[in-house]
Amino acid sequence: MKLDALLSKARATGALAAATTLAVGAALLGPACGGTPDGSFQRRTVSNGGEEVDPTEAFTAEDLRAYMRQLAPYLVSRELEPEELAAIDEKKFDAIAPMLEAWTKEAAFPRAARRLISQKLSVSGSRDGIDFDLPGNLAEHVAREDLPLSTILTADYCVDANGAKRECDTGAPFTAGVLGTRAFMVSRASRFNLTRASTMLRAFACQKYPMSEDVEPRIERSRLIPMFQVDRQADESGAPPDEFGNGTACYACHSQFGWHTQLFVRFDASGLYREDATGLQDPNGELGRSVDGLFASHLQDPAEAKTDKSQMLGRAVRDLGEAAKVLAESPMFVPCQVGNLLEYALRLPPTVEVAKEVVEEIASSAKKGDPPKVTFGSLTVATFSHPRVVAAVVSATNVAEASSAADQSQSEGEP
Amino acid sequence: MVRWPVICFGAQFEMARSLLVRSTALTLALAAAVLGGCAADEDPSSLKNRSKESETPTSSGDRVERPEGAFEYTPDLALLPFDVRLEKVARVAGVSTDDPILADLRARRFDLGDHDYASGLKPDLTWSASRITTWVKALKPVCASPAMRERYPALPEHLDALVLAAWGREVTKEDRAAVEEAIAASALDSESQYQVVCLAVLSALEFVAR
Repeated sequence: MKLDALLSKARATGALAAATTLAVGAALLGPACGGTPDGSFQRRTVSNGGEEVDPTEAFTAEDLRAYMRQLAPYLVSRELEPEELAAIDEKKFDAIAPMLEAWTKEAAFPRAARRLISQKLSVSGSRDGIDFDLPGNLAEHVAREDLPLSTILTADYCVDANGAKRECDTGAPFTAGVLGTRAFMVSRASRFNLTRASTMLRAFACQKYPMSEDVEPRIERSRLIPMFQVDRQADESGAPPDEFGNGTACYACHSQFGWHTQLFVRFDASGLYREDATGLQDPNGELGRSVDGLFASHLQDPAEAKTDKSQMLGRAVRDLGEAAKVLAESPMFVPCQVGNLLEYALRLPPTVEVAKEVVEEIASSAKKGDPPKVTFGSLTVATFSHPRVVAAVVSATNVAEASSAADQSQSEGEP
Repeated sequence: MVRWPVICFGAQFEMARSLLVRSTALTLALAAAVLGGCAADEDPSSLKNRSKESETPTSSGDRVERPEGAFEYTPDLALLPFDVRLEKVARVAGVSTDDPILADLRARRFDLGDHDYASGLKPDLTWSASRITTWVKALKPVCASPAMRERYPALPEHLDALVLAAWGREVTKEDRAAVEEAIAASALDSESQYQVVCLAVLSALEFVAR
């Protein structure tokens, strides 16, 4: 029998026994948690192929118990409490958003933000005097203080292990949130700065190369070093060029890579900012490496190759700090964090497509306060209380259970 | 018949094993240990394209109309991150994560799947036989602690409270029957019974995985 189905069955069995025993606790999620001044917990209908579906009627308490039991450990490092089980039994779908909102106030919740960023950027621990926890510290701080989520890219400070603000550690004359840490720079150091650039775009804009020219207009071919000017190469036999692999379609990706890698050209392999960086290829070194632990620029002109100036999402930027702000303000940032949340708490692979209209609705409803801001907390509530997110998980769980039951009855029927 | 790795808990461990084998929920832990990983016999194709269906059966077999799923979801059971498991144990025991009774768990954090990217250690979310052995050993001070005794004075008498705290659901008849049957078949004293029930609940897949 499938393990996930077994677990679902175990959950379901418990849920059936629960309904009558814990009703008293429902009052705890009554008026005090039942809504916010802006009405964010109001019941809403969801379109389903043109028909309106009331989510309150669409999910059983049993389904929702299983759903929230999936989330609780990842978001608040615990299991559901008796009063939460009772609230689900009584209010069903209407219990979900208030419960998530309450979770965002718990002490354990900011640690979920730490975990998400640490895993996304593969940074934790310490080595050679470098604190690889700085990105996670900042993420936890941003969640705890209910700061705009964009602060993870725009903070002009770093945060130590005790939660206190401190200077960042690269020595750069600018800051860039989690990107402006030696932890990020060292963990993503590579030739031509390709990994730093690709991680930045993947983690915070959910973009990979090549991306649409509407997202990032290309560098003029003549400004790139010759190897990246190449579009396609026919082999010696004259056969059509291979569409894949380095050296056959360089320009398509590197004309965009070049903008983003340039932002890192003054950061050496140890993550330190170096005023003396040239961005020029080390004539005696491996391709993509500059001298003295630095990495080569994509740009041909020595004056351009050594500068921090570049472009981010079509806008000229002075340095990585400014680029990070453009990234954080872009319309791709919040939707991308929705994907990151789903990946973190549901282990949803980033390759799985999430309905665009759902992501837009989540991003919109996550804006809270005056002026409106999206925080880690508000985005968590908006994401995991969206009926179509709940439906995706619940339906899959039901299918697994049905499959499990079928397997079981088949095996019981066998001699 | 499934074979467990030999670990030296003597009669206590034998009873814990018995509990693990007999309870539906607890069997998950055993299954995971034997399979050496999570969802090892999963066939992803069997679930694909189903989670977006807008009308699906509930667990009780009823059909309800639901909003269309926002994405195709395949449940994929995995070990919870180590720090989450540590926090859960601390919460069940009613202590902070730096409490001395959790010292063994903290000391074995990397053996138990925690990450230290700076040292090249990625999170390891598999639940292997050796890892479950390490986990159970490291839990012994927790289950022997006064903190646990204060919250759950006797086991299995207070199984309801322990299961509710550890698994976030009410204990079922099946859970209780499995425990009582295992205890009845053993010759353990009350202290040993307490230990094995505690270890079994806190080692079950339902506790350590999602």
